[in-house]
Amino acid sequence: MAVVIFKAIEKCNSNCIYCDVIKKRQDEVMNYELLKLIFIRMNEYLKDNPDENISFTWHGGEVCLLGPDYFKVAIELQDEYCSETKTRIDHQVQSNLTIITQEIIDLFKKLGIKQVGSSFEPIHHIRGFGANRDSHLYNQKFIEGIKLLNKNHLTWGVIYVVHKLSLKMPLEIFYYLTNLNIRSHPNFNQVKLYGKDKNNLAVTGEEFADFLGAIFPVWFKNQDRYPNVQPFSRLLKNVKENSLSTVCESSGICSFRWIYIGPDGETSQCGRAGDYSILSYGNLRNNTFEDIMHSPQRNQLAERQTVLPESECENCRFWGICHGGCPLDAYMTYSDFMKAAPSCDATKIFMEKYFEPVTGLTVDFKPR
Amino acid sequence: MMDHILVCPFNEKLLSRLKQRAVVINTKDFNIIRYINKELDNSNKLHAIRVQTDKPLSEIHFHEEWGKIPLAVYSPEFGEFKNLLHQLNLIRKLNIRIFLSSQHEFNFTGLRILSSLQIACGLYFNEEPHNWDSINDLMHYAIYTKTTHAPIEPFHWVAINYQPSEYTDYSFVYFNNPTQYLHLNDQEQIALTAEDLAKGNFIDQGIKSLDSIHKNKKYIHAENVRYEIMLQMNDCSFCQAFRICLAKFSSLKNKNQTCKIFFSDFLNAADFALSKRNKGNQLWQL
Repeated sequence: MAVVIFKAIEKCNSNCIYCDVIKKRQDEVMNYELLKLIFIRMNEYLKDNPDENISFTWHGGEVCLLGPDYFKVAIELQDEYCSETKTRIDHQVQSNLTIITQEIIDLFKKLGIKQVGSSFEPIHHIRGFGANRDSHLYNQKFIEGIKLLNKNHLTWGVIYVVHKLSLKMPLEIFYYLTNLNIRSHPNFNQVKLYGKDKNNLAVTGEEFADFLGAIFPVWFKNQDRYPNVQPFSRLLKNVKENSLSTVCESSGICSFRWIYIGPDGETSQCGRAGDYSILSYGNLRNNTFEDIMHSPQRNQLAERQTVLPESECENCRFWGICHGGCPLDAYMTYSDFMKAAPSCDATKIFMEKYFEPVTGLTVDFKPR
Repeated sequence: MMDHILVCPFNEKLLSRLKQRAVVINTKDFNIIRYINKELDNSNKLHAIRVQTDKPLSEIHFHEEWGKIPLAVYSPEFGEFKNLLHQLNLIRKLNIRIFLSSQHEFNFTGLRILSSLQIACGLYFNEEPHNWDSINDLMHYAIYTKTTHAPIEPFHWVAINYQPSEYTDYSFVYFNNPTQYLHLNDQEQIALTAEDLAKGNFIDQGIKSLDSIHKNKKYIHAENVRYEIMLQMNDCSFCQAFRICLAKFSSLKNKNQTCKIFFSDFLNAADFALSKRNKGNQLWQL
């Protein structure tokens, strides 16, 4: 399956402290001509690859700022230009939910969207509106959004970004998020901050591992109560079933599957690559999906998967669940794709200090 | 479509306007139980008669003619066991649940006695329970004990209804969950709970408004009240047991020493009961 990360807009109504998207081109919105071209390109690609599907994620910025008319046009364009292939396009959406409306939800439903991905932060002034990050108002609007989703029988899940202030209260945050949404459980990610950490929010790999480690024994003991908490469920499945990770940044197979499309039609590897203008695969105006999918630039990501097992990851028994981590993260930190990402520290420490002792399982995923 | 069970006083004029609806009748008078049952026999579906008394349980005079009438008796204290002894056989024949207050320490022993004698019973909480260890002990007895005993509420209700993917509100046991029960007074004023009715916190008035109650703003708000608690970001919203407690004791000051310990243990017990349910042998069908 090809994965499209589509940022028609990079503007956002929130001012989350750790977000880098908002530092970019705030006022650009992809025009309808380019939007039409996306559906034409997807149709070409799906017709040429009859066994393929496309996962199409509406991302931002805040997608709801596009307004209902934008989604109406998207539906019309999909109907017109992907009439035979539209059933193979699986729409997903990421939104902060604070300005979602019934009209937009109705259009999401028309696109076949059943779940909305979001983020939430119980610690005040991390996510919020305006210069002071008004989290009280933000949280109220978020709750109004989830009530609307519930009313429409759409499910929702949150990513929680672990930062310095989270470290004081891992279990409280875990309980809060699982109380807030009893059916869909959170995905914990380490905050990614490149350059100067002016708000003192960065966490080391060890700190992130310790954060996860405070929650893991509770989760492991009560898996029926808290199903699908990530990265725990995924890691346990990988180890128990001896299966390799399939999550983008630790899969090692993102090289020829992902496409980021920005407001100008510029393409890249993924959201993170787009945010930091790394790995340009050319503009959609001049390139087909097939061209973009086979951009020579992608070869270095594929090459990384042969270089790392012969270099710094050679004897790492966590290779199969990490694959050197996110190549973009490695590049942003070391200016070199052929390095293991800094998140490897967190993976190793978490697995050795918490996962293996708590589960009694031993991990052996050395490169072959 | 009206699907609520209505909790109301015994008022014949009111009940005549509630024909064909399921009702719980509130009374303090044991002497009118048979009369209530007879009056409602053909016109309403009697869900239960809830009798709130000031008498200790042992001082209540039970009657054989109450037969299969569904009764919930709320008594403040167990009283003297020797005075109850001669009525035990009769009580066992009745369609009854006996509730005792958490206020009196001996009630915890009393509830164990009733349960071990195969009499369905339950604990009702006074406003600020102080004896959380006793409540916890009783919960352990109700859920973990292997010897045969009758259900003790609300523990039994949670043990058989808890699902990890749903919030579990044991207020059903006390006819107090607005998704199933609404409370009415003689003036047809409608409230979400018995406490709201007593305090005059009405959401609407008039029998006709029951049919559109799902559109009532205060009713909708009540359905989503857990989100308001989450927005407050108080101790309850960060507590692992919120999913079965739903902040019922949010006004307690020292939660870490009281409700938090109890409800965390209660949640573990609910998980235990669920796993027992799921592992239970299913006998082949004849």
